[in-house]
Amino acid sequence: MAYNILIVDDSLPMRSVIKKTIKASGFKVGQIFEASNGEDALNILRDEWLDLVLTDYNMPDMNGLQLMTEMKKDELMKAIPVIMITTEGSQRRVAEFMEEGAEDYIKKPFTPEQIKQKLKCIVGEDDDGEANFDNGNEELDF
Amino acid sequence: MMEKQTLITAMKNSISSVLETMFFLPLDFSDTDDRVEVWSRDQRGVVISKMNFHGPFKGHFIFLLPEELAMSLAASFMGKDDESISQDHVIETAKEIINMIAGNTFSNYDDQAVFHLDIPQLIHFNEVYEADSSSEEALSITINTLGNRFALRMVIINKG
Repeated sequence: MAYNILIVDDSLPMRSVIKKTIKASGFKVGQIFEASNGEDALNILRDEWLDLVLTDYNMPDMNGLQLMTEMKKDELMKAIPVIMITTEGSQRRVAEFMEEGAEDYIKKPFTPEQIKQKLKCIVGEDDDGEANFDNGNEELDF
Repeated sequence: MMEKQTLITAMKNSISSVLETMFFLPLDFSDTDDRVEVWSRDQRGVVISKMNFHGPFKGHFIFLLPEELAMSLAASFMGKDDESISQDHVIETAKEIINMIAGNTFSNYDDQAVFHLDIPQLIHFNEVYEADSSSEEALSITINTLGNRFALRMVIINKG
């Protein structure tokens, strides 16, 4: 099973690095979409079938938390897992991400292995690459 | 109240973590009294990014990166040749580096405290010291790498 992923970051180099890292991680990827801001991300989410969103937290106009809040208001988008990517590691900030509905967070700087583990954990894949839908990830059974 | 030595250690650890993990850059922290002011005034073509922060204390970071090194870092970061790197790529990479260094500095310093980081911006050299006039403290670190040097400066406007 391959997963469609949306990367949201206002930095083109960082989007490029995340994309490269996901591909290098060995995670099974279908299409990778990119958005440079929250509005563009919401438009892509309305038009495309996405399995996972990785969004930067610190972006102008609409930060990652605000994007996630908008997604949670939408019946179709609210089930899509969101991973927050952030440079900020304060316990309170991380707790805020999780309370607002993030599935997990990735702290920058990151390694390909960290990305892979987070993605596999979110979609419930075993090491053999098979999705494990017995652990509460039924909504990912698209 | 901020603790200066703890902050310097947090800054150094953050620089190491970001530039070694994501850019594979060998680093040598200068232990001479090599003031950023003296070094940076001699430079031609320095990419300078700035990031404001506020929290238990407030101020800004300034990251000074020679253009040649900035170009090389952008190419390495994006997995491209130097020739295919644009000025925008260089600027965006410099902004991303200061973003990562700033965020990690604060989590290294105190992971219970919440600091708010603004969006990084590019500034001109003559703006570097403009904001210093009202500062209470300025911490500078110079780093040698690959025959080049760059610097990080943290200016604290209000110590809290």
